[in-house]
Amino acid sequence: MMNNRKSWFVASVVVTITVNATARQSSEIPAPKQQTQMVLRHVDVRPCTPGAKPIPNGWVVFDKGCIVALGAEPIGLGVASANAMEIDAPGHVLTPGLWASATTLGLIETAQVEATDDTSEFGDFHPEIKASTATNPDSDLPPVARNAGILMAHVFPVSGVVGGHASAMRLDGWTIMDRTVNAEAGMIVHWPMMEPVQSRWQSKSFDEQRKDRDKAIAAIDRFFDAAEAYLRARAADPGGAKDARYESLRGVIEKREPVLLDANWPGQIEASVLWAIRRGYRPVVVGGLGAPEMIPLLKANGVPVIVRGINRMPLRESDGVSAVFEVPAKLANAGLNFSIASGDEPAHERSLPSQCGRAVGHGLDVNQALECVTRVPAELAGVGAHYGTVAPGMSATLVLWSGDPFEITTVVRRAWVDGREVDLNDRQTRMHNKYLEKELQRAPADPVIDAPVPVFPASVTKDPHP
Amino acid sequence: MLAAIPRTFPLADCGVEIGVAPKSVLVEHATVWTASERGILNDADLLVKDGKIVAIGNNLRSTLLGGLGDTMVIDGTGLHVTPGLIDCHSHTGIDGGVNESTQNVTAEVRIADVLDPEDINWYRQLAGGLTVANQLHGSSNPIGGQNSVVKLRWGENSSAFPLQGAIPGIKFALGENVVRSKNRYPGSRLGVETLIRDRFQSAREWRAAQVKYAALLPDERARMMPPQPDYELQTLAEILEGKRIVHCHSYRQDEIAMLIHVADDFKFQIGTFQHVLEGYKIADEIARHGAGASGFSDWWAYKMEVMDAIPWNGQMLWKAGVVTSFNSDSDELARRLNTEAAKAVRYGGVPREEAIKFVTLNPAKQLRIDSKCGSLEPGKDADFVIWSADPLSVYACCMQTWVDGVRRFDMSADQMMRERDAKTRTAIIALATSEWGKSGGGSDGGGGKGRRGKRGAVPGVQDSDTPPVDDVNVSQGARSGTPLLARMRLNQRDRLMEMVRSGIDPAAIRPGECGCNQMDSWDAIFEITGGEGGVR
Repeated sequence: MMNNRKSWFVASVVVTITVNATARQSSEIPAPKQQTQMVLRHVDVRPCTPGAKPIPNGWVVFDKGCIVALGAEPIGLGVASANAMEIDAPGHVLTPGLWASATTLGLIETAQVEATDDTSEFGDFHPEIKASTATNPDSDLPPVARNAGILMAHVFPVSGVVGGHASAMRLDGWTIMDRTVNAEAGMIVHWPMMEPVQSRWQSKSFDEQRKDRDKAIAAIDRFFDAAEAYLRARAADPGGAKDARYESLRGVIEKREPVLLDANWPGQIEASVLWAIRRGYRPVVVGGLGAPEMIPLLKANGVPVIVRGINRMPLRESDGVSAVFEVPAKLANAGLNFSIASGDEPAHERSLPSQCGRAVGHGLDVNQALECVTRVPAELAGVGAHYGTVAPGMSATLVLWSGDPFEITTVVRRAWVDGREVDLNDRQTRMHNKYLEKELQRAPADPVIDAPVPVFPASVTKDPHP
Repeated sequence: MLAAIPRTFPLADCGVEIGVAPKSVLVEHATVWTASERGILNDADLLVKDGKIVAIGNNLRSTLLGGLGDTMVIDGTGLHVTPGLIDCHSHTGIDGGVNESTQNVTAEVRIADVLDPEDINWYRQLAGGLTVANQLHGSSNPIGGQNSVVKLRWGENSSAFPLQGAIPGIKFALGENVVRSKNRYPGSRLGVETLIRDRFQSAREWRAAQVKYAALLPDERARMMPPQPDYELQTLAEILEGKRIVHCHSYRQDEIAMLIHVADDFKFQIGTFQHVLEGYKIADEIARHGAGASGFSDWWAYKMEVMDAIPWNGQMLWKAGVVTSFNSDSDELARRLNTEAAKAVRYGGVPREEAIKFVTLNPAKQLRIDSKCGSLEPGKDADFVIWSADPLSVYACCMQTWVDGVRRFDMSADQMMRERDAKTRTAIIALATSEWGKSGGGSDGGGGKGRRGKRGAVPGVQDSDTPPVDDVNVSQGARSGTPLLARMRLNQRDRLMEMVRSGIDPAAIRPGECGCNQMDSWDAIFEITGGEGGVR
């Protein structure tokens, strides 16, 4: 949606977008590499760099896919090149592109249609699989997420005990090659429940459950023992046979890649983090609703947490009604490093900004909340050097919002991934426009067209009940 | 020691000891969202007396003859007040299964028979401003069971929950869910229509036979068999007579049109289309028929029939003249319906004073309770919510929820209640570890035999209706845990028991103090006290 005019006023945004949406009924087209330097003026810039304050009346220049400079108005002479395209957007907010973390975006289309589901693999131990392999670039879901400012994703496969590599993806681009930023962005480990469960779906006794748990933990240990032994053997004899499964754990064992420990309950968090530390790996806790009860452990070991959704029920009946809403604020107050994920279905990733807002309503600082869905998730996906903040040299992956990014009533006006403007149409805007057309054709209602069609059995209509 | 346990109802977390029900309440200087023709009033007062709304306006204090007296005055400066929120699609507090899925028609079953007033989710939803819920049967059969419309009178028993005056309803369902069963008719949307028509035809004939029999002279009656009672057909006959309304789970436009045609033919009006995800494609037809639409604000893509759902659905139906509401269909989402209403603003630009009606007045109309609930107007029930900020804002927190002039949720009272419950837990555990432990009694067998196997019996042990995704079982043989974990467990038990015996609430024990965590602590307690199969 490039605009040829040099100066481009926000007042015309709505009109421009509507016209475009109606004119282009095809699927969303990824834009070519950024050709023209862009200048955003009079915007409320939220840099999301550590400790940075918002710049209420700021400017940002980006070129060739990267941010060149930013600052407070007025912009200095010659900062932007003479033929730069300018967007003057007073009242608008500019943030880094949001991250959908711990998501299956792209791996699944329609949850209950098995053929569209690539989130899971057979077996308990499949570390060799990578999420990036099957994040369908033409999925209809990511464009909907983009309309909530979500431009990047840390995609997780969801099955197994040692479940495979999460991948950091752009949500724009023609191919998986275009979209993949970091294919091996963490090894997923689903930690077993530590405490026995009493529930109508659980038929096993407490003792049996404990035995299962201990077996599961022992199996995890055995698997990593074997992988480490394999790597030692390979180092000793580089010509030996290769094992794809053990080979895929090299990053974890050499501490280049974190272990993403899926753990919500305090017991899971404690046991899994201690396990990872004992083995010398880099733990990241995913889920983390019980993290406020494990703060000393997490803090002492500098373990980051991905809080996977706060639109969820408290873990226990005895927890406060707002206990989960308050998790981010509690982690922040304790000085923990954490990000926020939606924890929702991939189709509903758009709830992410409002979940951040709810966390703010329950005590989290508003600027920190934004970092929880920009800078921190980018860092946890291993690409914090290029994504997640508005700073010189960083990727121009940006969202221009009509107002407060967290409010549901706010609209994404424009967005860029690596400086390439994102087409903000999606399957839903297409359906919306299609049936707006029906409204136009049918108003006022046509009595002939709208009359009920003749129906079986005929006797019913002739013989109404008295 | 038992004396230390307060007698609450429910006798569980957040149970009510003494209700707060002042004779009159005056909220002053608040922003009042009336959900009526008066719209949103700035710096306004709300006066409540004997459970009813008396007045909304300015300086109501001066209208009180004889002064404030014992009126409870709430300073609403900076706060917002809305009507109590209404959820037109709830499965909360249904004990023992939402679906009766063994047959394709189950009009005879009644949700009201399994209403659970002790479900903690009622309280959690009150804490999100909800005051009324339409408890619906599930969607496994084309003609499902009878609904139950309740007020969230937390702290009362099940007979106090039903909302008197709400029109009886029934759940119908169309589409993928009802044709999923492999061994039962119908197996397609085609069969759904013929099944529904067939049952209505039978209901009509059954009722006609009843009427005919009733009109006979006594000696004629004596000579023939009376028509058999039939709870299924009786329920369907009530629909044909306009005494019961249909709440129909529906997704695709063709199935919505189908049911409209069936209703037109049988001369009844459908109450609501529930979910109604493709309602926008056929909004004019729904408006013509006069059915309501109660949908998700923005769910989609979880089934094939919901790929075309769009978040503009609500606004497009509303614009076509359909009475439209947003519902939860979820224990969790029902805690935050206020921000669901905001999506009517985001998608399509419904004015804010109209958007709030999507979760207040409009569902009240759909349940035919709008003469009592749904808006803040004199004479209506005093169901209202006090918010910390604009209720359509994600930053807003529910501070108080009032039902019939009774305060059923209060943020600060909630905090005190939590402290009370923590003490109660400590007392019970101390009791369990001392007297019961010594006498050898007190064991309930553990594992799954607690109060309805659902909660409460073993405090602190996780309860859940769905298996946690984290629960993994590995089949390979193994050592019995890592040495690390074994050591942790051993240490924690000794340290913990010492602390519990000295009267410390286990919930207050933090890692670092005993090297364990709360859940493992409970675990240890129940190993010792016989929480799972006898005292050791």
